Amino acid sequence: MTTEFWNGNMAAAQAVKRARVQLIAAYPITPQTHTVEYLSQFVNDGELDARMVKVESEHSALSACAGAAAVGARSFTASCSQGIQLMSEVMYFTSGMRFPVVMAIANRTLSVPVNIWPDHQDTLVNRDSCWLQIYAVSVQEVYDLMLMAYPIAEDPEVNLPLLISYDGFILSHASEPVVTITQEEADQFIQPPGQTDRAILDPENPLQFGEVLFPEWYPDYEYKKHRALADSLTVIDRTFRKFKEQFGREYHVVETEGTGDAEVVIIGIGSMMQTARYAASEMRKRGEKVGVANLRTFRPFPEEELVKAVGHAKTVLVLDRDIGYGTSGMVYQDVTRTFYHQEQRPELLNFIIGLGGKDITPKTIERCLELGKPGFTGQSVFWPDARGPKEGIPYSEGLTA
Amino acid sequence: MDSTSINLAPGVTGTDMHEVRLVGRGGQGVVTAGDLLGKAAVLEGRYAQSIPTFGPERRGALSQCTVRVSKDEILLKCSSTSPGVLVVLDSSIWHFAPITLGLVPGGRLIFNSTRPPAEIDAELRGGKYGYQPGIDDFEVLTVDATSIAMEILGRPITNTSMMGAFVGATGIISMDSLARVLEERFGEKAALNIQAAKAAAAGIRKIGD
Repeated sequence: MTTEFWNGNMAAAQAVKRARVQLIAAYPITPQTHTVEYLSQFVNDGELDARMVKVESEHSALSACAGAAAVGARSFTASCSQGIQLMSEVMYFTSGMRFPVVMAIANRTLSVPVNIWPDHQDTLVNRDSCWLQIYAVSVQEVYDLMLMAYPIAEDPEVNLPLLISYDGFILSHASEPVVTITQEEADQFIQPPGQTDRAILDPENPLQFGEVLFPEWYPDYEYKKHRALADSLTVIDRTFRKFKEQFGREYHVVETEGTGDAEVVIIGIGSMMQTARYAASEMRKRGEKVGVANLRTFRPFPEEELVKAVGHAKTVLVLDRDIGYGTSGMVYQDVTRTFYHQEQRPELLNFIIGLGGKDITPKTIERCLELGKPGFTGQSVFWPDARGPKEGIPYSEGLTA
Repeated sequence: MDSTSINLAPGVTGTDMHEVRLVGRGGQGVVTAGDLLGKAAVLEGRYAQSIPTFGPERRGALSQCTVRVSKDEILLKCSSTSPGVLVVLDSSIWHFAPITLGLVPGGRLIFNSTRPPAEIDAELRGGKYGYQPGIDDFEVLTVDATSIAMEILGRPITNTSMMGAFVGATGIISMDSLARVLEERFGEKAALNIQAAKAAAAGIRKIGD
């Protein structure tokens, strides 16, 4: 165990090396590119016994990874932004065939306008591709979550692809101290590749994947996929506990701070939730009861844990670093669905912040809290970062008839 | 230079955290400097963070890096909003960007420049380039890092010299720690870079010098 000073892309690559990944295929795109560059160096230097496959696009990169998974190999790719959109078709194939491919995403917004900076648009629009989506909030978490990625994805109860998301630049290019683990420790935690009981392509035992399924059985297959994703929460929780037993660092699907007696709870995903923790602790010093609940997993969506975390809070502020065009933020949609049938339903307000890398500072969070103070007054979705109709007044929207 | 003898630069008001903003042009080693300063602080048993911000352009465009150092974990995941120290690697880029944004009282600004610090100080206070620091209490220092780099390294790469000036002017990390990370990063070439760092620390000019 040593403490290194790594950026997020390096932390991801180092964890992939520890997982003894066997096949890597990716196409370069800022701010992900380093991840695969580091890995290709490890392979070149003999530190990782993996096959690097050069491909002409992200569509092919994920296809190669899915093909490797089909024969039982452990495969990895990394991408972001338009790259994931080009992969999108294959993402559905990968989850449909129940291949536990792991992908690192250095979140970057979607074009156009062209912009290389972070928001969560790229991963959230792939919400329904039946991939697990886990979000890191620090470089240490990028490393730890990537170490846990294969044990979760390859668990016989899951067998689904998984992506680990971390904000471009603000985590991918930022360096922070990372407590590392040795290969021996990793081998105890992560089952060596190739030892799988799942169905794989094998000439001795011929099988077919990705077959036509007629309407008679289609809903049954879909229900199983849907349940596997929803129930993966149990496996994630089990893996988090096992990780804590072995390495001491504690993870929860919903990470809370100060929610116990909070009147206002801030909810969201990604690195901005650390800044929110900072802002909330500053507000507490001024006597305001603010709590923070970071959703570490967006898929599966941790409904019960979220309801528990919010407790008796009167108001919930959902921060979305994304926009479901024409409606609200995408995390907000799941949060409102979660609370609709609860007996105690807090007021739910939505804040669209940090789009295209707009910096989310403690002031941004304080502004959201300020705007949320009057509670629901007909407006539920606020855009504090955009230049509003008047100085100091942001655009806000309610339900329109 | 013994860092304990240096009057420590100010941290973020109300915390023990130091926030440093490095400013330069792509290719001058701003990102590497941020990374190495953070690494040096981690060597000293502290928590550190280095967050670069740059655009899709390559050499020559504005490049910035935020370095934070604290005894505890740093939660902030954003660029510097309240720097106590500015390290400006390029003598002209700061004409085009409001580099003093959020500067805290007592802030120290270290410019790579051949000019006397009083001249730059007057330009900043007078808002010559369209922005002003918004506070009166700050100190401008200069060091001719380009000449030092040319003389010792034979190339106008000023990041190692400016890291030395940072150590000399702020005391946030020690010269020993800086030397150790330079050795780790540059191997055989480290000796000259350490020499450049020390020369820059010794070559800082204050107003009135």
